[in-house]
Amino acid sequence: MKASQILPPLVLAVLFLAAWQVAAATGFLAETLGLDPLLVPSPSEIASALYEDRAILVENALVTLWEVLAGFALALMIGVGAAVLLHLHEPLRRATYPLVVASQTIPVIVIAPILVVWFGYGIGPKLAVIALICFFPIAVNTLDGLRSVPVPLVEMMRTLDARRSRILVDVELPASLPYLFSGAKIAVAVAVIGAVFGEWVGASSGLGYLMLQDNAQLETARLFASVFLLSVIALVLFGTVALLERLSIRWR
Amino acid sequence: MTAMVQADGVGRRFGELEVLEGIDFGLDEGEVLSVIGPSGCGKSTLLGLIAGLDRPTTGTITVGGGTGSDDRLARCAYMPQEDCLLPWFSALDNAALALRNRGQGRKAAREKALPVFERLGLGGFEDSRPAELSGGMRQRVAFARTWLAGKSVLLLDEPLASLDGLTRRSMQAWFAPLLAGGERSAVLVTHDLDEALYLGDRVLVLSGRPGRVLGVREAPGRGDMDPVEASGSRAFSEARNELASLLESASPGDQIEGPQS
Repeated sequence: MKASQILPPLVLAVLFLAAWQVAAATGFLAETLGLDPLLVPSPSEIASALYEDRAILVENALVTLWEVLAGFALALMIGVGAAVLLHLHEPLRRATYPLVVASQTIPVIVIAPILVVWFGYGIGPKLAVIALICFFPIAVNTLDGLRSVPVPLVEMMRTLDARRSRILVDVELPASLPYLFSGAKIAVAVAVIGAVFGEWVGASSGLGYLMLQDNAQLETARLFASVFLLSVIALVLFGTVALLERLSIRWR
Repeated sequence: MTAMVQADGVGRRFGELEVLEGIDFGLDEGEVLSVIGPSGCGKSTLLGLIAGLDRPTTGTITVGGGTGSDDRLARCAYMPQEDCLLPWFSALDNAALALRNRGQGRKAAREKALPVFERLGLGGFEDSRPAELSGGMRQRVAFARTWLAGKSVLLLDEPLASLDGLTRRSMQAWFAPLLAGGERSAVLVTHDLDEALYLGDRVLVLSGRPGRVLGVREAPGRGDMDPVEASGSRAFSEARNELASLLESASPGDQIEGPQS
């Protein structure tokens, strides 16, 4: 990215933080909101909470990161697998695709309590929530990508003696990659939200769990620090997927 | 000579829409047959039928003695209007696609594809990506890919339509010697009368929808002329007028694309 692209949002972010700092430090923010100043931390207080409690924050962030990575990987495998299966099997696609789309009206996050009942308090329900949230954008985008290949290209390949598997591997899968990555970028961002919800329903570690503890103890500065770390995790994962996209799609 | 492709009373209907009706023609071994006709007259449908990608509603098509879809598919190589090169493969790998499809290793396929690749003036661009090539070069790679399929019948669906006039003339000069070699039969769909006469041994004229055969004309023969010379020659000019009036007779109006389109 060029400086001209980075500079404006950077300046805006700095101005925002500066305004927040002044408003919180002078007590103006707490007064306006009618709150105890303790509950309205300034950016510098959040930064110091981030530093002083780094051991406990990092420990819990790693738990959440692990859940996100495992859930996302699970969704990637199942999502791409399902997309290929539905692509190759027309009747199956016709039968299940509308149901898959309709299933998106079920808010996955609110079934987290059910998942806890089924899978207990371990990593199981978190993985299930994350995988369920990530599955849809990955599967639907990949399926769109597989179906994006123009008919004449497939016909040409057939007259060039290509078996079905050859068309899938050499033509349809590469063509679906940009779509898959679009889906993966959406998925990885929402995966972090899924992990927090999974932890809120029942967990003994992770940033979501820590947030609940801090919430009860009015540790607002560390609460904000957890939110900050969750954003960092989402941003880094998004950037990693975008980087992988650029490395694997070199023909554009 | 034996007929490589034989169509007898071929018709194709899509629901209510009658696209082709009572098509009869033969294509000899090593012959190039140009097919012209107004837009939407079923020229591409006809190629799909010959290739075995589609089945006729009525009539039969025989390719190399076989009438089944699979027999036809096994003997035809199809070149669509768009170059349809795979952007993730290099130019030479695209040309060698059919060889890879038949299970040859990448190295062997590339070696086997190289002579044809070079004959079409593509030497030095083996490892270029399609996106790095000009429109004319991409069409030559696509033609090499079709040629290297090693099929008896090439089905060319307006292969040069997307190119500008000048590039199109130079592509005709590249394709002509290979097609004239007599090794392969070819059906060339085009809307360019000059191209039909320059590359084809005969020109089949289809009517507007439903497409019927209006007539078949011998091409005057290009001799040593390049496409521009040929198009300016008296023999071509007469043949062109004859084809144009044949087209005009069956489908008067503005459907016909002019001889210099």
